Amino acid sequence: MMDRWFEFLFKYQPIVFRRGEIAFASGLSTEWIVLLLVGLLILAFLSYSRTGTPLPTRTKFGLIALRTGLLWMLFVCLLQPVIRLSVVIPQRSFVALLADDSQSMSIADEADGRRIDVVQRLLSASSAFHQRLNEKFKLRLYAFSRKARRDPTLSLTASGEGTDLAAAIETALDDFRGLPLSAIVLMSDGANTVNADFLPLINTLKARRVPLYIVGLGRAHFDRDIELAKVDLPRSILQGSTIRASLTIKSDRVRRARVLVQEGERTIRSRMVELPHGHQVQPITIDFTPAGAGLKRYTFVVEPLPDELIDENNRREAMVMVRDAHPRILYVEGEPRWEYGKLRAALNEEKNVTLTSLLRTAKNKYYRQGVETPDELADGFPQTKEDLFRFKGLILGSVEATFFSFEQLKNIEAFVAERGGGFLMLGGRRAFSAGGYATTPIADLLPIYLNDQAPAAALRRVHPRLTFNGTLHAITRLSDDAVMNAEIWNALPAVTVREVPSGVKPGAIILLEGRSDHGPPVPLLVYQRYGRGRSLAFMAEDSWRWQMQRPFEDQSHERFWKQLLRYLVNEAPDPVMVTTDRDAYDLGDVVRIRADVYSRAFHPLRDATVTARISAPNGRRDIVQLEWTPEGGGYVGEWTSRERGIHRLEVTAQRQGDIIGRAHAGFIVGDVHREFRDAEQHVDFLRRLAEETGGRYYTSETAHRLPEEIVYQENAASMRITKELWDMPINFLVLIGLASLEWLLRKRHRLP
Amino acid sequence: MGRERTIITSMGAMVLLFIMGTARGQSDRVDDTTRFTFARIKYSGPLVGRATLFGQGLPPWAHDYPRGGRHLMKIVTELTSIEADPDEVILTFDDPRLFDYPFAYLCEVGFMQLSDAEIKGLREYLLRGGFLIVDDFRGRWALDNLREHLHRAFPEYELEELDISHPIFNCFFNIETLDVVPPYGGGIPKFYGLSDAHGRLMMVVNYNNDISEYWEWSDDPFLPIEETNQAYKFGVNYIIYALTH
Repeated sequence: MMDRWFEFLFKYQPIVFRRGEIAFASGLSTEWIVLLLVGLLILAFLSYSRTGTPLPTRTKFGLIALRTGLLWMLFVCLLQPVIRLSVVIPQRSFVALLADDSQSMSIADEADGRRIDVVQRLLSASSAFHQRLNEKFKLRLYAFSRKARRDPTLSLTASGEGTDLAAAIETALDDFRGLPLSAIVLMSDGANTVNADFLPLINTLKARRVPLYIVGLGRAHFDRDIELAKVDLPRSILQGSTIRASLTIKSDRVRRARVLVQEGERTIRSRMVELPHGHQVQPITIDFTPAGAGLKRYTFVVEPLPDELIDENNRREAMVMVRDAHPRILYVEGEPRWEYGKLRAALNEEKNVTLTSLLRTAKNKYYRQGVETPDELADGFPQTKEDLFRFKGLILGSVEATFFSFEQLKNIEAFVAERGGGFLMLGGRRAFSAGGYATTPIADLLPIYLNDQAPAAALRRVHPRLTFNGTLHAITRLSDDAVMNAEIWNALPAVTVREVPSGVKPGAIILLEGRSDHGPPVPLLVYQRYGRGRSLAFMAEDSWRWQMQRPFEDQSHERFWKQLLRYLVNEAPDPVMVTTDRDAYDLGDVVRIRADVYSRAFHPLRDATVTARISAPNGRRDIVQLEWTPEGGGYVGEWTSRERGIHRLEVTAQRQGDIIGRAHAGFIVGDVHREFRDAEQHVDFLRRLAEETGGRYYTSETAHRLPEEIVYQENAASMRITKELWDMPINFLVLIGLASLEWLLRKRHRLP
Repeated sequence: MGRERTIITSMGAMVLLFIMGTARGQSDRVDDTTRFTFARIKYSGPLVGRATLFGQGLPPWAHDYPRGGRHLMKIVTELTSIEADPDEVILTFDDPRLFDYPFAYLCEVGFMQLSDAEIKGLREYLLRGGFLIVDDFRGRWALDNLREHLHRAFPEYELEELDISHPIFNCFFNIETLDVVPPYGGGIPKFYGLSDAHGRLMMVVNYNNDISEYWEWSDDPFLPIEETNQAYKFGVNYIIYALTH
């Protein structure tokens, strides 16, 4: 509408003024123009210097200003103003017309149908759009999704399983090497499904003076659609552990939705979630425990609304490798105490995590439990990194720092930093500052600050309370229901702390704090990442009260310790690890495999032979040799998916004929429906792309202006034209307006 | 007079505030209850009064008290890394404070008559992780009385005789034989145990024996040193086992 008014008043479209240069055709020099303008000003002044009726000063100057404006306006028109600009010579250059043919173009969110329908209507031979373009340019039509193809008949099906805008534009540019290409017209929703850097492409377009004219299709926001935008869950987990899946649900106006979790074909969770109004993105979490070990396929579904716009973006699939592994934790305790025995007892029904303990029962006398061989730990705490690094977790109880040699303390630090193990220190008479750790490498490792001086033996009895982070964390989840979880924690008996840390390190997270009637809360369970591993401090020394002072059916104590110890080792790496860049792929996607291989001392190995075996559902096996890459240090390889279904991946690392280890992973090839995710029109992206390259962005409503505007550009196939401006309606309107105002003012002051 | 009253009132208020402040500052501080503490089980029964005539005029549940427990705690502190409280606490099975002390001692069970509340407390105590030594009793009638009580508390478990291969006999000292000499009485000592579903021994029973008698008189030549040493080995092992299983 605005553009129509503009064209009425200024005779030409706005783009003419944007692209052109204004000049005067009279040939008068600037000096003369200035001189004449001053002369007209003086003339206007003189004409009001002597009036029969005395005038107030303000009125007098007002009349002079109006007369000056009138004279100047007439003078400017007499100077013959023109606008000069470049315009393409008809049929001398090409326009490449790229039509998005991907699946997202089938979304029916345009005013009168699907996005693809708008394209087909604009490009039909009978449409004014097509005809006007065809008059000015030699058109070459392309359909594109992942790749662009020339398609003179433009038979669009909206069936492409991906969109690569950059590749499509590059294809067109390549086709027109040596040919005069005036512009590229892109018709798309901008929902790119490939990560691409557009900066080099923009620079190429600018260098070749090929602007992008973009017709953006689809709505920028959906009203009746829920999208399961993201699902995050661990790719690998120890058998028996609970998975916390973090889901991101996108919706604008939908208030509630039901979320289902399926393991294989079986629904294992169903939950109604509230979606606050106006919150476009809503994160939720769902907990579940995989049944048994092996490669598990999970489908997350947000139940579609009755009249939902896109059903395909309501589900996502994920693969989880449930490991039937038996990671070992070494627990070193300096004195027989209830915390030791009750912690061991809490793991009675734990089938995966193995607790091996070294208990000093007397000076130089040890009691070993959970050892694999009669000789294991017979000489006390492991002397070498190799021996220590066989464990994935390490717990230090009430045992003083001088129990260890300095080398052993350094090895403990390296156990977390280099090996990626989990470390936990428990409260006790000989732990933390009281154990003399403040000046040891363990102080670096701990998530709390230690005091140089051992604290006075002032015991505090505090009640465990969840912090906000604690309410979200797997360790402190004693019930899947958040309210019940808080109630369970509030009901647990008080515990004793001997030391209040002088501070918690930056980046450390407090999961539990101890509260008493007096004084501020004290950190009870704190955790931080350290190097490749994780480090925890549990300040209490009698969590056994959670067992002894609750009914024996209450499993809080057992569950807390099982979860804590699983967390300790869940992500501790093995010598050979394998991952893929995603866990769900479309047919034809490239699967990027990465393996990390370490020695027994967990130094990266660069000279290993690493082989990946991919087993497809039909039984076919492909072998991919992985090669060392200095980028991030690992072995990488690629494989292209050709069959739908669950694929199993086994990586074997060998060195000098010896097998270092094997690792397993899995992924699924199927309908990822990438095209229907984040499928709103990406208006800002498309507008910026057009403007950066010197082109313009249009909507389906304004697209009809494109054929008129695209002609105004300067290139080898264009010519300069001049358009007169003196006869623009706005000029006459201004003249009439100024004359009328002057006349009215004169009348008001009774001037002739 | 009025001024004096004001001064006295002000001083009184300051003293009160000081006391309140001190109390407030220390109110969340507690004694060290994390030390190993021996709990003695007190019980009642129709024969308790009669049994009080024996054992230095003490009720049967208090036989060898307090010297037996105190001597054992001294030995435990000397020999092991355990920080033990020399004083034992005396509680009944239905006292909730018992759950603060996961190690308990019970004797002369032939005279014991437990109420339903005590039976419930016994069951909870052992299933939650408590450990009980049953000592200082002899005769079939006393063992049957114990069995009867245990059947009420643990219908699903039975007392079983222990042999030398059980970890409780080698977790600290390697005890070589269970053929021990009782301090008195003619019966043959036997060791019984009650285990939970996970195989954890919840209770050890010194039948026809009184190892606490040896502990009690260990500072007196009244009993032979060999047997006394052996009794201490059992006591220390019971504690280490309870703390580690």
